[in-house]
Amino acid sequence: MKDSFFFRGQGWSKGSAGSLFNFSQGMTPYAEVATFIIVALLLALVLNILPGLMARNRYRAAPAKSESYECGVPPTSAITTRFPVRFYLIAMLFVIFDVEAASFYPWAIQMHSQTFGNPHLDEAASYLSWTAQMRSLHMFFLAEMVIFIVVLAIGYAYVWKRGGFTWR
Amino acid sequence: MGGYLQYVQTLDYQALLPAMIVGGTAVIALLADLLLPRRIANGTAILLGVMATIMAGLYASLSYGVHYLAFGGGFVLDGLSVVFQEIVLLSTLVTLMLFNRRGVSEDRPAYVALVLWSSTGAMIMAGAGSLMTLFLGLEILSLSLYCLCAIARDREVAKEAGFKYLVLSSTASGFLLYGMALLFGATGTVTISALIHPATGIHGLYALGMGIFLIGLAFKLALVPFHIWAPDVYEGAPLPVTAFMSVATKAGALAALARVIYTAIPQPDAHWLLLPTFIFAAASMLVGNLGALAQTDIKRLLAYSAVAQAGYIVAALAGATELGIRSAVYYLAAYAFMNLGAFAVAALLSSDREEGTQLVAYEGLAARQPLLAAAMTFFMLSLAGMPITAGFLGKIFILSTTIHTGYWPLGALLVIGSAVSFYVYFKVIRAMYARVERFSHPEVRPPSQLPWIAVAICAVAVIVLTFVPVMPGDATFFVK
Amino acid sequence: MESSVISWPLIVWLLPIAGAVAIWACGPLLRRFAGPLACAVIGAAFVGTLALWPAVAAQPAGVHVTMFTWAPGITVGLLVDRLSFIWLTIITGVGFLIHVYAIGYMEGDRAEARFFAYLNFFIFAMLTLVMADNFVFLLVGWGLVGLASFWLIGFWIERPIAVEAARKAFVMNVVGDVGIMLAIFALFATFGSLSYADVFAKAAQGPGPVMTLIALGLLAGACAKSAQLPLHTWLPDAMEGPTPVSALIHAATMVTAGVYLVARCWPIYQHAPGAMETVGVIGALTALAGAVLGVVQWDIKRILAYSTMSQIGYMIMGVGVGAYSAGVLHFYTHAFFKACLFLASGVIIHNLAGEQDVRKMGGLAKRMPVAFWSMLAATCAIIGVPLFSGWVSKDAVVYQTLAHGHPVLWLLGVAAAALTAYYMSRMMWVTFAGSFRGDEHGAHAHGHVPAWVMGLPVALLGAGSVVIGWLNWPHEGFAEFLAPIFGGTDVAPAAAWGGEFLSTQIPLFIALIVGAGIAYLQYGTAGALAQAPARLEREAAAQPAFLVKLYYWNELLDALFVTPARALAALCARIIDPKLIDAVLVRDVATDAGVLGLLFRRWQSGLVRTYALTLLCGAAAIIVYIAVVR
Repeated sequence: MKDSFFFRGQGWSKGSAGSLFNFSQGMTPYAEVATFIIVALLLALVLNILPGLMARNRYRAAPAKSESYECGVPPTSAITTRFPVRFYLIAMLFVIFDVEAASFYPWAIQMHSQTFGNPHLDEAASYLSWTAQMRSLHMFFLAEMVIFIVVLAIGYAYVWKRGGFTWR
Repeated sequence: MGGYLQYVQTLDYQALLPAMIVGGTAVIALLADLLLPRRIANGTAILLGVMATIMAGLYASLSYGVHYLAFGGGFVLDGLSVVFQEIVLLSTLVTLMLFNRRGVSEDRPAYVALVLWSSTGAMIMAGAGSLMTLFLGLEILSLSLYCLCAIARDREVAKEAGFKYLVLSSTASGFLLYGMALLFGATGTVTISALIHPATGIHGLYALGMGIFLIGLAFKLALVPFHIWAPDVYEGAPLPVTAFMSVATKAGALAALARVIYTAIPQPDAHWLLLPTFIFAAASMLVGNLGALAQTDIKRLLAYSAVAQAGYIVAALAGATELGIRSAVYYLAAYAFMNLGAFAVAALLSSDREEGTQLVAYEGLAARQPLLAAAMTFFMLSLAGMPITAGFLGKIFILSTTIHTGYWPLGALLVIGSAVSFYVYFKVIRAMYARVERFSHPEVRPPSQLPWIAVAICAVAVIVLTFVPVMPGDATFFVK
Repeated sequence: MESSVISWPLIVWLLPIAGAVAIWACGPLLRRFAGPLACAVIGAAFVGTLALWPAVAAQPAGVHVTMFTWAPGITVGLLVDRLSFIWLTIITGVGFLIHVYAIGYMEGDRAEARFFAYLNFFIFAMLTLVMADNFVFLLVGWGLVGLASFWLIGFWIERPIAVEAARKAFVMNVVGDVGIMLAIFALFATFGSLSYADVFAKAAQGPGPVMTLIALGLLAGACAKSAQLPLHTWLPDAMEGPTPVSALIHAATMVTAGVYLVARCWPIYQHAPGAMETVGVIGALTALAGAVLGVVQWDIKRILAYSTMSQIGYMIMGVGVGAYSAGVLHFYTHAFFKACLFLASGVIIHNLAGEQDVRKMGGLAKRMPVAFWSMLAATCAIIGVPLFSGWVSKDAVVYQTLAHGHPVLWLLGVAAAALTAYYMSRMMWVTFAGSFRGDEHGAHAHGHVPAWVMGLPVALLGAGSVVIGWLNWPHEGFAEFLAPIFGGTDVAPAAAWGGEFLSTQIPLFIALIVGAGIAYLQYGTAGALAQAPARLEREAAAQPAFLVKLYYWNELLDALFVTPARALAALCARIIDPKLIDAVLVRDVATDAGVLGLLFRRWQSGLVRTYALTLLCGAAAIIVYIAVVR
């Protein structure tokens, strides 16, 4: 059983049958992850070290080189000023709702694969007709999304009421 | 794979119903805040929260004895999950009664909603049968707690606590998630009980994943050295939030840890894999109790004590025996109530302006409020492990577990740690009973008398646990 | 018979504690009604006990209620079988009468409600002791009766001597408790269970030496609780408590717990013959030693205390030779006549404004007829006048020693009987005959005829002293009743030494005549009575110091245990504590802890980056560990 640390020689073990989170096929070995990590590390290192190496002599030669705008306009104030935290708040709210909107996509895909794209539908629950099964599944997905949107709407209303969107 | 929906049944939702009741009520509390005038909404929110926890608790207790894998094994309904859910719900109930105006007056519906949501998260963790559910529960719990820590916005320490908790806990969540990814990579499944195939043994990637995964859990349990956030966060957070964090988070994380140790790690050839966790537990017993020695703030003192107590509980799991899980569940239940009781007493010593957590606030308490001092003494004695209290019995059980499983050094450290902790807890008792000429601390009026109910609940629970120290067998039953 | 959770045994058991809590909580409100309430509670418990009778009579195994599992192998429940039923009737029945009596006796006391709360609590504790179905619960009851006894002996806390006596009783009982505790540890280690049923079923498999040790440990507890040699000295001192307490705790019920223990654990003793022999010898020696000391006492309650010690000696002797039902029978009759004696003496003391010295009494027969007649009946019982209850049971015990092959114990029993007859009848004559020798003005100031609340219990118990022994008729009714418990082991196989009449009744009757006769000649004749005061003084002075000082037993215990303990304490206080603990352990450790604390403080800096670094170090440690170990 002495495999190398990241790579496994054998196939993937089978999880328990019927499990929701069982992906028994289509897995890629970790070579890509390792490559990704190495490239990311190298890139970060290179981008951090290289400018310093390249720029070292110029700094000494001309102080203007180190200023924000090299085009000649002197900066009017320090660039590291503080600016209102509300930017962050707005950004955060945007991200939250954006991500939640993005979750429509997997929902839609799932609905399709569970209904029209589901070859096992009629044999799985044979006591219902295909149409009835289809209807109940669609209702299920609809209800799921309605609940999701209602909760989201309440959150939205709450933020609104508490003044999350006003610029005070 | 063919549609999973055919496996989803009404029963699945019933298994999840307690958590859904609590989480749904949180949304209703927010609605109440939207629709009702402020004053009414405040009261309504607390009432809603209390009702929801009681209902969920009753419903969860109904499903005691049922063993069921809901959502294809994503959520497990077994004895262990029910008992941990009950512990979480009771601590939620107590927490809801402890609100103080200073921390959470203005945002009380939000406070209630966040407490309920974190409770939902802890309950999901308690029943998590797969790594995904576990992470989901953990994040629901943690995200709510970040906000709860910082909910008293006009207190600098609270904001600092929230920030620290956010940064460090996110780091830990990252570890956890990374560990999960590796585990998934190693085994091809996220179902906890299917993580290890008995025949194949421990794979390198699996070991690494499990190690990193356990770091995440150790952080939530505040085991040394992942405890480092606890004192600052506990001190900074509002008192009820601290009370909740010290119990519910631990319950959730402990349920997950127990499930992993008992169902996902082959025993006994995985001793070496869990050894770091138990070394951390051992270190927690020492550091927690030693660290508590110098504290003069009750919240900080209890934070260090919580570190030590988490060490005791994790020690019980070493060796993964039946006696071990029984001791751990018993001790967690006992610890939950004595700890919450101590916090409830502190809440009764808090005014609108100041939380009564400084040790000076307890000086001469026996003369001023003998009943309150007696209750606090009872909780402190139990925490210290005075013979015949529930704390003592729990420690005895854990001690005998460690001796049975051969992890006796853990037991020895438990004894040493307890000896040190006697000094810690008696410091509080001494402050209450020592004769003082003049009270340096002004008399305070607590904003509400609700914490009295909390004190009563906790005291009764600890006494009951003392007399019925054996959990029924189903309480520690796992569905694999 | 298994019974449901809500059942008579549970009700009987819980009533007294409910009463105790109620009276304790509402004491200031109740005032004069505390006593009647306490009586009502115990009366109800007595009724409940009687209601158990059909079940107990029908079921040889008794009524068993399982309450809860306390720890692995330890299930707590209540057991009312025939043995505990016998104790129950005495505890609640005689206890009820004594409660009623106490209303009169304690009338006007500063802390009447507290007294009755304690008294109810004691009944609860005693019920716990006899209703337990396992050794842990037994020990709980054992400890609680000790606590109740401590509270009640020292009830008059303003009297230092009473507090001292309470402390002495408590400490000496703890010695016995430790013995029982060790026995329980050994039992659990040997049998893996502490329920009576399990232990007794497996008793035959226990290794002999261990069984002997267990039996001796239990015996230590029995000796302490029942005031047997060598742990007897607390009982006479305990007479400092109020008289109802002396009657209830230190005569009728608690002090017989040792008898109960040995009888209950008979299967253990059956397999530890050496220990059983010891029990019998201790009982016989105590019976004699107590009777000898009774001769030199003049304080009426102390006379009764030594007679209690002596009579319990008989019981212990009975159970020690294996005649369990005879010992239990003597307990039963003794509860009546000794309670009667104490209560009657209480009437006298009450009327004479606290006078307890019999030499200052005399001629009280006419002034207190109820007390006199009751006490006479009880005295006849204790000295064994034929047909009285004590005669039945004492005969049975003494005869059984012979029948079980212990002639020496028989001899000791007969000798003790003679001495008992002597000092008890002397007490009667000195107290009730002749003319009053006491302080007249004190007597007149306080003397009043007792109300029926005090008179009726005394009279009832006096009547009981006469008739209760008849329960054993027509023949060995007690042994038959208890046969399911003892399995018939306690009945001697055949008539030994010429039968009971020849071998025991005749000698005992002779002992009675000799003892009572000498007492009559010395104190009962008209001439003796006429010159009583001066003679009594003279005789008191002439008594041997060895006896007056109670064999110097207290001094011996002091020299053996108290003085060394004090020396050790002084050593600790002067040398070990300041020089070793304070200097080395505390101060040095504190310094070291300070250094450690400094380190901690640097670590707990409050900076997030330090904390994150800590996290990373921990994570790195784990990863390195896994990489290395694997």
